[in-house]
Amino acid sequence: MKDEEEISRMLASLKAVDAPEDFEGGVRSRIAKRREEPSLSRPSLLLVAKFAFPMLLLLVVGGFLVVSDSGTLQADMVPPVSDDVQYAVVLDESPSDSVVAPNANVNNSTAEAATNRGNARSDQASPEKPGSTKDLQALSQDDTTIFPDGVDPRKARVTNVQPPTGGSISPEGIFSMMGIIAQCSSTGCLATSVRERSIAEDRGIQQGDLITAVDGKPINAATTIAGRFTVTELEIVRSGRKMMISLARH
Amino acid sequence: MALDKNELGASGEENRASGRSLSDHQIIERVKSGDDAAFGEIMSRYKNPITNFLYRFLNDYEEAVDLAQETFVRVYFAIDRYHTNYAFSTYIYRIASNLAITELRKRKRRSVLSLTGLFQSDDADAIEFQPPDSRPLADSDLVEGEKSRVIAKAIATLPPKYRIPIILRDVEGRSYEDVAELMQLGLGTTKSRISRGRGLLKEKLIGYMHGPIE
Repeated sequence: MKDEEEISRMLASLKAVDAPEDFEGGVRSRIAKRREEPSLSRPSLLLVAKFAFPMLLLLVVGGFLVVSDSGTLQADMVPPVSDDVQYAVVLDESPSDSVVAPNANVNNSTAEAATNRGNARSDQASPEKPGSTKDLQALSQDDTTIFPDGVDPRKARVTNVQPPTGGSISPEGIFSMMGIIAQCSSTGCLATSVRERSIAEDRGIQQGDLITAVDGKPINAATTIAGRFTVTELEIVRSGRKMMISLARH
Repeated sequence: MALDKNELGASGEENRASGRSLSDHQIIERVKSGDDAAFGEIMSRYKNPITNFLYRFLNDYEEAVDLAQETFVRVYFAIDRYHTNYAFSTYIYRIASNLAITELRKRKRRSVLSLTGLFQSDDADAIEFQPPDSRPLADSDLVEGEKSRVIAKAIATLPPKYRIPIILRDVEGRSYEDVAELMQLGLGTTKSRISRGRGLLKEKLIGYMHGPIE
């Protein structure tokens, strides 16, 4: 305690220093100079803190919300994916630029259908002579490739049928993607119905057609398809006659 | 509130003379109402104590004067925000202390090599041994001057948390209560720090205590 008192006494003995004579003048000069400076005063800083910062915060939050909303919209635009959807069929082109009348009757009688097929065939060879007897004769002689009514061979094709990874797809599955509801047996797959505005309808597949081969490979109930492949041609039997329906672009 | 260097003329001096009988708070109210002469009275009252406080804190007179002037500039521009809830002396010393601590930090960043710097170490609580000079000196004034310099250096080596209360209490002679209020500490903590500061100084100045030189 005695030492502390002595220390205290030593400190108290220090001579006090005074401010210089021009001290007040120096302060006033600084004040005047500070006033002239265009620097940000404290009130200006407070103003910035009061308004600029909330505005910045608002922009950030607003931007975040906009981004979030656009993300939601994009998500809405994506069609819902059903667990039932396992495969995809990709079309190279829309068939809207058909050179044949799209309303051609593909559900008429056999005779009309034959005529229409003749029309379709002649569309490729001589489109100015639809439905002529010559076409029918040509058709009867050439059963390798037939383009039914309403089919434009330069249009779309069914491609990139992708079975699930490591899985396989049945013939009914393949035809379903083309719009054909088929029942397969040992002799082939019978088209029991064709969906409207489907690829199959566009290509002229009709109810009752018996599909016997895909791209030259026989197809029946025992067939399973695996891997990635492209469907370009169907072999069908209609009214006892074998026909080739091409889905490929020519 | 206009303030000009030459505004304090004869009438200003008269005002200052009349202001001496007023309390700090009354003068501050005058300053707030635009009485520039009152601000002169405030400077007149506090320029020496503040300069001395800063000098003992920094151990550098030029720097002390610079910071003292800056203290009054800060007071002037912030006078409207000053509330009379606590003493003006506490307010102005607090501004000065903050400026001094900021200056110390700047010095540390700049790594200024000064006499004070040589005396200081990185460890704020480290003890600096100052061997006594036992050689006889003919001139007592010189001896006294040397002793003062050593004490000043010793103060400057204290960590700020001990330096400020020691200066306020032992150099400036302020009460423990004032120091506690200025430091925004409890009375017990303040006394403890002052005691600890004296202990540190004792270790530094042991050779100059109980000696023949007074």
